[in-house]
Amino acid sequence: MKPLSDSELQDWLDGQLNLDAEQLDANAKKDAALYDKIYAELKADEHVAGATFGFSNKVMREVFLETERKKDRKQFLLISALLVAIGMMAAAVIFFFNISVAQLFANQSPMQLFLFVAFGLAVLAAIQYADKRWVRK
Amino acid sequence: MTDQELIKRILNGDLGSFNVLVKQHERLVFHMVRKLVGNQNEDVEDLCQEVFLKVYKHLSSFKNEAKLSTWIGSIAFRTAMHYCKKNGIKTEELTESTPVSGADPSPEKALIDQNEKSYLQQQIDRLPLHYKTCLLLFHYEEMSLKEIEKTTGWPEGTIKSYLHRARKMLKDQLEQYQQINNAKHETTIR
Repeated sequence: MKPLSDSELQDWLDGQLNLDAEQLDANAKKDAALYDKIYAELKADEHVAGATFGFSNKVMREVFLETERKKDRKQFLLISALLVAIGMMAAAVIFFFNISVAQLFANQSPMQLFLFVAFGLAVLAAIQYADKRWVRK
Repeated sequence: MTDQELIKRILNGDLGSFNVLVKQHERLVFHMVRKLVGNQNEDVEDLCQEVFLKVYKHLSSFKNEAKLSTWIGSIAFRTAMHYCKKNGIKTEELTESTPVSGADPSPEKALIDQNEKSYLQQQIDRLPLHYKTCLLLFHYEEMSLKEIEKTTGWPEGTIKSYLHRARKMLKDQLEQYQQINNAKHETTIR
């Protein structure tokens, strides 16, 4: 008969202590019986409520929405970058060709008119693209 | 399908595979969150959803050093603990001096046994969060001490000590409960 401390008894029940059950004294046997009940209860499935009905579908919907939000953010950044680029290009053209905006309509040279219309169309296209995404959504 | 294959598919944009992952681990996540924040808490489902959204967002950072379930368990654990702290949830602490209450009124042995189980469950639910977490992961989820360490971030020695103390408390409570029940049973017979 071997008197075991409570800690040793738990280690034995966890399989971390090599000892035969017959080697336990009466007290340890009594405690082991109590621990057996506790261990059984801790493993019991009956008290474990699983996920709620349709939970995975809800998660998938959220994940889908999150993915869409991420895509939208990317699109928004892309459109913003596009608009900034167009503005900068226009500024560069005005600077490079030394265009006077006030005289643009007065002079009405074909080149200047073409650039103005091209710029306007590009802005419109960007707005339409963004609009189409919102409408589709 | 192995965990690695599943992760690879999800990272390649296969949402169906993520659905498989959710179904594989929802029981673990629900069980952990319920045990930590309380069974009756209305936010359990939202918290579990939050856990899986975090899993989806951070899956690319998952390294195969731990099991996928351990990693998901650690996210569930941290999310639930954060919720408990934020909402001031503190489970009623079971101590050595907590009186045994609610002994069974029925003399039937079967009913006594049934109530012994309920009583034990009650006591488990009343344990401090740290103890409860260790018991749940070790016994129910059958995690090793190393895995619990990875899940909770607590040192292995501390986990072992929590486990011992929690089970000792439960044993003392159960012993007290049985003594009271036996005394009641003897009185009824007389």
